[in-house]
Amino acid sequence: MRLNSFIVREAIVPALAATTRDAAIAEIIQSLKDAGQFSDADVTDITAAVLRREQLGSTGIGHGVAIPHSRHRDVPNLVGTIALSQQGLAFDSIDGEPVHVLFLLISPDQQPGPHLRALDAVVQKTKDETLVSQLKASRSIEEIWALLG
Amino acid sequence: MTPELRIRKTVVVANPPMGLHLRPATAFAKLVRGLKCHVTLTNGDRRADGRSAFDLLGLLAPPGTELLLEVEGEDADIAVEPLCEILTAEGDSTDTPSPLR
Repeated sequence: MRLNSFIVREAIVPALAATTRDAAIAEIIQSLKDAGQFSDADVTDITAAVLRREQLGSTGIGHGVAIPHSRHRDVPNLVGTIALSQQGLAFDSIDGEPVHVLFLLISPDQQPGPHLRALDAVVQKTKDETLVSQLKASRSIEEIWALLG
Repeated sequence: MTPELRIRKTVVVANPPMGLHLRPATAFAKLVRGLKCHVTLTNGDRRADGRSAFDLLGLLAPPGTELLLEVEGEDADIAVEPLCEILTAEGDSTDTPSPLR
């Protein structure tokens, strides 16, 4: 699966205003909503679900990357986006390093296949630390999108 | 000199419905990083360093997958049980038990 098949370009956040994990997740979900992916009513539910999921165990997988995610019964298709934090966010990552690159995924309930393939696509892409460094240095949606191809 | 303790064990992944997914993988890697031992997991020809969530997720191990767990070092004897518990948890490991689901 290619990242640009489920990343919503219009929802990419090149520079998060948020300075905490929870605020960053809320800001990214709002960005997906503003891009027309969710209703106002769903935003609250989805944000709560992603935060609960994160409290069960950090999705900070190391070298500055985190993949917060959840499922939602009213989401028809897997959607996701990417956001960058220039200052870095405390995320309780496995290596203790702050998170600069966040991939947020929301998938339909009862469809683990696409969810797993998307997760694998993110993991395979972000294993490349050079690519992660390039993402961190990106300042625009265009630069980020070009790196996801 | 005491030889390093080395334990090899086959583990069948549970963690329904997604298997060795993000949460168990990060929990596993985090636990390994706190231990004085070297841990590897093998699924066929795919081999993962237990400290790396990237490696562990690359094993592509859905429920029912047989993995070979190898633990070597000072903490090997105390490491195996909690590591196996993460891999064989029967709860839904995908997300929070949310009312949304």
